[in-house]
Amino acid sequence: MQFNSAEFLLFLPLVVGAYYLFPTRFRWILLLLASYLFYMWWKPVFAVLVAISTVLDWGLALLMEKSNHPNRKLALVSLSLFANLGMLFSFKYADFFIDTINFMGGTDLGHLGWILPVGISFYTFQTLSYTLDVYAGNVKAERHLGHFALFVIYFPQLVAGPIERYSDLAPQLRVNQVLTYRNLSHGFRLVLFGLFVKMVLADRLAPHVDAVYADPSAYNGWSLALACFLYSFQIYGDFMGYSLVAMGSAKCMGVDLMENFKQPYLSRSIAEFWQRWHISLGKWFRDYVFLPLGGSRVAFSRLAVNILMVFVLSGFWHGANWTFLAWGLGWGLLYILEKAIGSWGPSIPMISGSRSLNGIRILVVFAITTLMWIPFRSMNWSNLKLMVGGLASFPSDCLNLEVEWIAWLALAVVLIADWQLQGRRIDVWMDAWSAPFRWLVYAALTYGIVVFSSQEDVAFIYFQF
Amino acid sequence: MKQLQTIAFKSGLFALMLLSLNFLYGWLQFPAEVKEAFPDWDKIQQAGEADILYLGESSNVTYGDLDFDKSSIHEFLQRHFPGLQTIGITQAAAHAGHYVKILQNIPCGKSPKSVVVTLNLRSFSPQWVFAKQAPALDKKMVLLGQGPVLWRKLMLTLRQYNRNSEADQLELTQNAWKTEPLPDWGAQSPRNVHQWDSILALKIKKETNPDRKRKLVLATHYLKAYAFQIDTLSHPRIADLDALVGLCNERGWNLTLNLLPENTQKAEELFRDTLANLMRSNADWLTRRYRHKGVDVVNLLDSLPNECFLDQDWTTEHYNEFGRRKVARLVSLSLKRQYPSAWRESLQFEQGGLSRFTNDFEGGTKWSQMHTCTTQRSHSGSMSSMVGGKEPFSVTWTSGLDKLDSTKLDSVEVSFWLYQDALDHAAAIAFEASGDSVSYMWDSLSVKRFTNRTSQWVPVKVAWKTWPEFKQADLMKIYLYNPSAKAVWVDDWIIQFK
Repeated sequence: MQFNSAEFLLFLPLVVGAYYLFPTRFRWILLLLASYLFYMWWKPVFAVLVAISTVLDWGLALLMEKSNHPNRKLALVSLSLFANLGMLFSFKYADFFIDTINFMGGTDLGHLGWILPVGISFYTFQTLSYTLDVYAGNVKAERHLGHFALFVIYFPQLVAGPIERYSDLAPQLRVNQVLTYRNLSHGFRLVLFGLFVKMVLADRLAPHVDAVYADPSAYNGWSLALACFLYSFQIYGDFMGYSLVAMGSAKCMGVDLMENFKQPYLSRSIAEFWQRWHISLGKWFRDYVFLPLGGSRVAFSRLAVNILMVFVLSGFWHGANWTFLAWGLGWGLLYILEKAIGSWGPSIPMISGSRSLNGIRILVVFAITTLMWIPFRSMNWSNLKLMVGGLASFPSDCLNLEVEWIAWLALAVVLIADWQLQGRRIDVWMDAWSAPFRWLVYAALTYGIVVFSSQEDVAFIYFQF
Repeated sequence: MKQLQTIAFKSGLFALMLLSLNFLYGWLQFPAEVKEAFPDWDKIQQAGEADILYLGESSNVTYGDLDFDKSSIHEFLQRHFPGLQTIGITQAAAHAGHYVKILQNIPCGKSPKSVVVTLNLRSFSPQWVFAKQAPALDKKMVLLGQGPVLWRKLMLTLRQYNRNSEADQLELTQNAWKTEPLPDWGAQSPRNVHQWDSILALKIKKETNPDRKRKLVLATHYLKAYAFQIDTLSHPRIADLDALVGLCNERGWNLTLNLLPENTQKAEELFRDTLANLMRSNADWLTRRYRHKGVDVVNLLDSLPNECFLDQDWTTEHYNEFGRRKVARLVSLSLKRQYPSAWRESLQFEQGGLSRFTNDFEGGTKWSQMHTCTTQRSHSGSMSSMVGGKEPFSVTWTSGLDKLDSTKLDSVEVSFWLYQDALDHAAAIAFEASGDSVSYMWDSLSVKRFTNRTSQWVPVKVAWKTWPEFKQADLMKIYLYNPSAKAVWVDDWIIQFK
């Protein structure tokens, strides 16, 4: 079920209503059934994979906790890793590797051709974080299969995150959440703004970006540059919109999900950008890859290797394509370069500086980010080459790409909101407004969503991951 | 309790906000958006004023190049009831489900006296039910759905319409052909369309005679369009038609179902009587079912001969002028029971031997390019044809040579009234002929040769001698051609062959 669908518009109020009517001890059953229904709306059969992953990790974690032998524990956690990553590999990466083998070895192995189950990368990482935490002794193994199953499949964040930790989410799902106006209104605000950003900004930009990437040679350099700029906001609107609806849906039931974005395009450095963009994935890689590799308390050369590894894996997590690897590698190198400059450079003002200098830094980081989205969005190498080649030439003729005024207006709304938020969440920021102004904004957002949304069927970008 | 009170109060406030937004959208944007999706929206709003409301698909308005009069079925129908107001609403590829939506949008309190709805037998076939263009049409009709206008827009935004891809639609069609049973015609007979089609495909493969091969291919089209039995319990069109009947009963409208002619003659030629009888049995069943519900059903299935069908290598309900006139007349005879004193016999189709043609561009006689008619100025009545700029071709007289008096083909005299603001245009009277046995012929005479008077209506008479090979041509056209940006106006044509 998509958040921007009629089904979800009916589903969410019904679930939230039923949630508060149910006795606390039975709520997990309601949410579990609702979450499975939510997931099975797309292709019911893939719920089996979630169920397998759930039962397996639940059982392995219990065995791990009971076991006193480190080797046995290691074997159990390895089994969890092998099973979860094996499933992920089979569905997501097998055909990519078959292609690579065919290309390198001149063989003609056939594709598996399996459909990628929605959200497999997200719930796999979420369950893995649980078994790794149990293995490390950071959390106690969950004894109740139902409660654990709900942690894995909790519908607001199931298919595109945020990737939650067991210690953060599970307790919130168990406590007696009381119906409050504050929770409902804050949830409503997040859902409303999230849908606006997704449906009016991202979905309105999508056809223009898609058209350019589908045939870069049909557009001049200025238009390609504009398409790259637009994509920066399409993916931001798309993913942030989804995350806000996820947070809002959970908030209606009293659950606070992790914030996934904190005004990333206002970052003044690459490191800062990665602390503000897809935060839950960044934290996952930090805690389960970067820190176990030694973190930053190692020699610079080792640190560089660790950073590269994290970014390449992150690129690979996004998709089975060399362009994603190039994207991850590129970010890794830029990150290392910035670290190197920060370490060796005498007084490069990365931390403090005047407002105008900050503005320049923000623009530079945004420009780098925009350029880095090119390999991310390109469908393959030849597409990437056409985009980069086209960008290198700026003819004298004007743009041949037109964007509707409403998309520009939505972009301005998002930029102003980001500028004004200053680290706050939008729902909290709205508390500071006067009631008439707040209702005016509700009305404007609602009108925007209903009347000015794109009429095209644009799926959430991160569903493919 | 206080929390609940706050939630209830704010929910009420939100509902009020939605009501205001609904009003705002209905005032600001809905009219333009709905007209873009459905150009005949204004006609729906005026339909309550009509005595006869005619709803049709492409059969209503499609005409042949050789038709003298290109009027639609509902316009021919109007001529049988000159004292009544007839409004025609056309939506290509529409079916009963779409007509229900159209009728639901007629403002309450206003009622057309009679509603004539086209009932297309082919619309029951899987090929139409799962047509590849069905999703696009469904999308267009969302704004005509029920409920407040903001709700309809939300349904459009949330894509609450058939969103199947072309591949999905094709799969559904093929599945229906494989699973929907045909009548039991004997042990050797095919059980479903898929089996029947496979038999024909084998024959096509083996056939070496191009004519017979072409006929076999045409047979597969007929098979796929008409070989079905209507499942009364689950067929979506039956549900739509029942809803249509229910709506008309509820609002007190006299409903007439116009069961359109199909080319049964061709079906008999291709399949002897097997397929044609199946078509007749389906049509009879529909007729009986809806007559039983008190609806006036005009069953025209067998009413037109093969030559009335414009598409000879495909299955459509597109009729030539004679066909459209006949359909209109037969429907009018049914409506005559409601309006006995208003009915008139209309000028009937003349098969040939004609030499004189007139048109005052007021809409009484429809030639090609009628959309160039404007009320900007006129010599007589209220309209003339504006030529120039985006529309370089005036209202165009078109005819097959076989329809003309063969003794009067040596020359033609064209008289008309011309209005020109200045002489900076390139308007010319054009004569065009073409055919299988002659090469394309075109000639033009500048109107400036006949008059240089400006800013007034001026009579122009052009005499033109036909080409020697003219009598071998199949099709002839006469029109005013003006490729320049500056427009001229023409009115009151008289074309006389001599």
